Amino acid sequence: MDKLKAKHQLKVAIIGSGPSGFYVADALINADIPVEITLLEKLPCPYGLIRYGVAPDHQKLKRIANTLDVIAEHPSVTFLGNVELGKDISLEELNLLYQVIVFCNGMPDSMSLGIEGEELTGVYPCNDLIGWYNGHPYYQNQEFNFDHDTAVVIGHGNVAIDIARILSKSIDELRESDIPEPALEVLSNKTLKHVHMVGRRGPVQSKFTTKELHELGKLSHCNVSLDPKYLDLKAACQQELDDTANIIVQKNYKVLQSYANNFSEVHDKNKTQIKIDFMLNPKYFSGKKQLSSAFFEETYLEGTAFKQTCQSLDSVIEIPCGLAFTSVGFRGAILEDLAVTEPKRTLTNQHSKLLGSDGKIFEGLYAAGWIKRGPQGVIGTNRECAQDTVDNIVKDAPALLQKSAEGEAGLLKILNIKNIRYTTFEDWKVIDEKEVEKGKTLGKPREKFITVDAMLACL
Amino acid sequence: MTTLVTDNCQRCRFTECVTSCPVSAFHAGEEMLFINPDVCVDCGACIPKCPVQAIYEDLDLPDELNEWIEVNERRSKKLPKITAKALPYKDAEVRKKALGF
Repeated sequence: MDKLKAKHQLKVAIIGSGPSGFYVADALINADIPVEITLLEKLPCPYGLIRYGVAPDHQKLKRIANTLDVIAEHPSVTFLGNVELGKDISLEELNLLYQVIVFCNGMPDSMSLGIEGEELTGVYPCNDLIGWYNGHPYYQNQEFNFDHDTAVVIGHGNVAIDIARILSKSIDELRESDIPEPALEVLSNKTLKHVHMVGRRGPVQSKFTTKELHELGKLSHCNVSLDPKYLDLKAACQQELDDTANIIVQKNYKVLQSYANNFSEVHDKNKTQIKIDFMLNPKYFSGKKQLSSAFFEETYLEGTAFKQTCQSLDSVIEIPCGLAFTSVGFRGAILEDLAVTEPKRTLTNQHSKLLGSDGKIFEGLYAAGWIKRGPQGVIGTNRECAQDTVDNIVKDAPALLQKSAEGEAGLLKILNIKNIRYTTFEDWKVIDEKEVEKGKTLGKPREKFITVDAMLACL
Repeated sequence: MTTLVTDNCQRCRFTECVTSCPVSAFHAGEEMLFINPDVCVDCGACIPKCPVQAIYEDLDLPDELNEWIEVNERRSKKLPKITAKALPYKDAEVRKKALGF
């Protein structure tokens, strides 16, 4: 490449190769300014939540990876895996090498309920379970026991539905997903007969996607029901439901009505009973070492439409259970030198530009995705979010280009000096091929390598 | 079938939906948009974006709109992809009102 072109090329490092990282890269490529993009990932493999968050039985949704592959293969983009910010390379080092650093590192931690008994065996943040059954290397030490009659899932979003569905499917159904064999072996001892999905607020406030909610009712070994009393709406909730902008809630409401019709049916004992419970606020868990019951306060909503707040009543109800998964949101990890906004620990930003721990704008640093706006929306929402971030980067580009930056060549020099075994996109394709190959012999989409060492060893 | 665009989009074409698509499945015609069913992953991100509720998924497509399954399949493959917002169809606001939105 000629020197003049290199001089005008914006050197961008993206932290995290989940959908947001890829969509930032894509928006930069399409921005019509010369760019050199390094997509950094702490695991040896790309895709973030597409690989490790999207449920293992939602293979169609995982096909989004095909779109991300096209972005990774663009000549302006280099994927470097197995490189962790803060461990293998510091923010300071990276800042010397690049004009722009975009944080797309997502929210790796689960929000805690902060109630008594969360430490009991049997109570887990949803990430522990999702990471485990999706084969994420960081979540493989968790020991689960599914030999219980009842599980409670706390939270009313798609993550809660995913968990309820995986807990309710038969082992033969699960074998068709890409849940790794060691996890399948543990799940084959599953004896669950009841799964409760519990939320603090009412049906109009739940955050489900209609497709996911509808899918629950189609499972062959399940019966989904809810108490019809929850669908008897008071004026403020009815007003929220009737709002034309609330199309998803209206669709969900219809699905919930069909589940309410199942409430008084005589239940088939061979089927798992999924019950959707509303207006219950988790109060505490009880048990001797092992969870035996979850306790909830009944709640009511107060205030005008769209501004209702959840208040607790004095009455407490008990759900005896051996397992509880809390899915009440995610939060980011603390990053040194950067300002975070509690409680979700999003990176504090102004027009996607990050603030340092001193509260001033940290020139050249940006964010996109969950770590910028919080854990909301579907995968596509991150594409819009990434575009917004890139629009701001492009505006700042002339000023940012004033700083000299070595970019990828400089980074590779440092990684080589430090003897860091980074992976390339070609390496990933080898890992991918081996996983798919092994999956074929087992009659599943792929058999994932569940440790970093195993991924690297196959190269 | 996958998620698809139906007649409310005709002579509206607000294009609010296209930036939310994680797989760039939208294709633009003169008067409306279409979804390529071979590409769509049925994530539903576009559904709440449409100001005239033209987008349906398989589970709630009314029978009288069934013809649009074939139309999306056929037209999407002949038209260019659209990934960025564009100007709506010229009388879009009038049509939106007429549709009751």
